[in-house]
Amino acid sequence: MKIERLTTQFHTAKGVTSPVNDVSLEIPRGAIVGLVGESGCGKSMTAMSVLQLVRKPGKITAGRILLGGRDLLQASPREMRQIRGNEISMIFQEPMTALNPVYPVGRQVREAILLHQKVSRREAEDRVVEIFRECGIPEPEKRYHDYPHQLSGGLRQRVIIAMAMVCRPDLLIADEPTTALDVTIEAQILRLMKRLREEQGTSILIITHNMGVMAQMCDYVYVMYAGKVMEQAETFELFERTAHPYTQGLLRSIPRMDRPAERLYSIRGVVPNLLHLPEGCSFCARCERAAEACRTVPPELIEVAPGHKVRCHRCQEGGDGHGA
Amino acid sequence: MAHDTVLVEARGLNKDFPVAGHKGQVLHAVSDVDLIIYEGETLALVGESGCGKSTLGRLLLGLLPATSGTVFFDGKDISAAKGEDLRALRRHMQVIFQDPYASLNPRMNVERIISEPLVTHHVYKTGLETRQRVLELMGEVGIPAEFLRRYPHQFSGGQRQRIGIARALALRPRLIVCDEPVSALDVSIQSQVLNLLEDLQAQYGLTYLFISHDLSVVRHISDRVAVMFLGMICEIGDTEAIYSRPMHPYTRFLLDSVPLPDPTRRDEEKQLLTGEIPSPVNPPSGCRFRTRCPYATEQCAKEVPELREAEGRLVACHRPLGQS
Repeated sequence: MKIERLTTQFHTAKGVTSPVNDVSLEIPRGAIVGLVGESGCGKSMTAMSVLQLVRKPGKITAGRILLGGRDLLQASPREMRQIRGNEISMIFQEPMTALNPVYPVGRQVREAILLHQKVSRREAEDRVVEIFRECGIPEPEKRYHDYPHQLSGGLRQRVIIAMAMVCRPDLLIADEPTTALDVTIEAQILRLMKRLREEQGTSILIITHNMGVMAQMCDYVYVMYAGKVMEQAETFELFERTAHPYTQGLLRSIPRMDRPAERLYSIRGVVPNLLHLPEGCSFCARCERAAEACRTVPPELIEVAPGHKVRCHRCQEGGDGHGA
Repeated sequence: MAHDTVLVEARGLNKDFPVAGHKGQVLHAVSDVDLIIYEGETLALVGESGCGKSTLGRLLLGLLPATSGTVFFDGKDISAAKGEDLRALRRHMQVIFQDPYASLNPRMNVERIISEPLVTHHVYKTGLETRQRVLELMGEVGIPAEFLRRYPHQFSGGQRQRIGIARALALRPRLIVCDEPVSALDVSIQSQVLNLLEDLQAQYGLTYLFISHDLSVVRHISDRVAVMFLGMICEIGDTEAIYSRPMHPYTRFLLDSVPLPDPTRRDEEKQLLTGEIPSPVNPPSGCRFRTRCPYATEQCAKEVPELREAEGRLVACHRPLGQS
C-alpha cells in the first residue's frame, strides 16, 4: 500500500482543519509500519481515511491511496465494502465496543467470512475454529458460542484479531491494539501479530503512542504531529539518530525501565489547536531550538539520510541536529 | 533519604465483595494484606487490572470498610474513627484519580473545585482568604490565575489533572493516594505531571501511594514497590532491588512483558506468561499464582506462601527465583 499526499479536512463552523495534512506513507508487503504520535495528531484519522470511514463533516480532499496499483479513492462504495475486511482489515482499540454484545463471538467472525467469500456455513465455521486456535484462543469450539461479555479483555482482543485475519487480508491496520490491555496480555498479542506477519506475510500498520510497542514491533516508523509527518525512518535509524526535536522530546520524556533517569525531560506547552496552527512549523511554539524561520516558513519533509526524512529547518541546515 | 517513620500501617487486611446474582459467593478483592507506608516515601502498588490495587488504596484511605483487618494512620485506627475524628484524619489523606474528566464536577468552575475541601473543612473564615489559597494552589500546579472561573471542559487533560492535584493539596495532606494519575495522559504531558508530583513531594514532604499498571512509570517515581496478584502482595521492597533482581516469578514475568523503547533489545526468546488470570471468586488453593507459574510444585498447591524476608525485600513464594 502506498498513500500519496493524503489530506483529510473537516469543515466546521469555526473553520477548516486538516487532521491529515499532506501525508504520504508506504507500507511494503510483509512490513510492520508504525504511525506514532500523541492524541489528536491525526494518526487514527489517517487510518480512517485509508478505509474511507471518515465521518461528516470530514472529507478526503486530496491524495491517492494505492493498493496493488489501484487507487482506492476512485473505488465505488460497493467496491470499498468488498475491500474492507477482506483486503484491508482493522483492529480497533476498545475490544468491547468492536464486538456486538448480542451475538456469540464465533458467529460474528463467521459473518465476516460469509460476507466476503463464497463458502458454506459449515466451512466458514470450521475456519473460525481454526483461526481461533491460531490466535491462541483456548478451547476454540467452546469459545465459539460465548458472548463477548463472557470473555476477558485479552480474549476479546484475540477474537477481534481473528476476525481481522480470517479473510487473510493484505493489510492489517491496528489502532492502539494493546492500549487497553495489561502488559502480560499485551506481550502475547504483540507476539501473535508478529507471528501472523511471518506466517502469512500480512503487512501491518500499527498506530500507537507507545514508544515501546513501536521499538519492539516496527520496521519503519512515521512520527506525526498536528496532522503532518514530522519524521520518518527505519526504526533503528530513528532511535539511533533521532533528528526532529519533537521525536527527541517524545523519546526523552518517557520514563524508562532500562535507563532510569533522575528527572524526566518534558516538552513544554501543549499540542496546538488545529484551527490556529502557527504560520511556520506547527511545533515551533514548543521547540527549544526554534529560530526565526521556524515561525514564518513551514518546513518541508527532506531526506537527511537514506530513508530518513525530517520536517525541520534546524535539522536541515548543516545537520546539527542529526545524531543529537 | 531515609524513610523510617511509619505513616500508614495495614494489618491483615481483607476485602470481600458479594457476587451479584450468586448468593453466598464472594469475590476476594484483597486478601491478608500487611503493608507499611513510611512518611515521605513513594510506595507504588503495581499489578494487572483486577488485582485489587485500587481496592487496597481505598481501604487504606478508609473510603471502603474492610471485611477484616485494621488500618492505622499515624498510629490511629481509622476503621474505629467516627464523626469529627474521622473528618480530622481525612484532612491528612487525599486522592488523585486516573480520569480527570470524571473526577471533576463539570458544573463547577476551577475556583469552586479547588476551594471545596477548604470550605468543607472550614479552613478559612473569609471568602477572600479562601480565594488567596486557591490562587496560591493554582500557582503551585501551574494553572494561570486568570483561569479561575473556567470550567473543566475548557482545559486539556494535563491541565485537568493539575486541577485535581491542586484540590488534593488544598488541605496540606500528609498522604496522597495517586490512582493511575498519568495513565490517561499523552507522553509529553505525562512527564510534566510526574515532575510536578516529584516537586511537590520534595517541597512538602508528601507521602505517595502510587497505584499504577505502568511499570516504567513506577520504576521512575517510586522508592519502594509492592507487586500484587489476585488480591495478595507477592513481593514488596526497594524498587531498585526488585527491578534489577525480581524474586517472585510473577514479578519477573511482569517486568519481562514490558515492551522496551529500544529496538536493539528485541528479545524473541523471552518467556511469556500464558493463560488467563484466575477468578478472584474461586482463587486457586495455596499460591494464587501457581496455575500460571512454570515452577509450581505440589507444595504450592497446598500451602499459601507467606511474605518472607529475602535479599532486602519480602517475597511470598515457596521457590523464589535464584534461591532454590
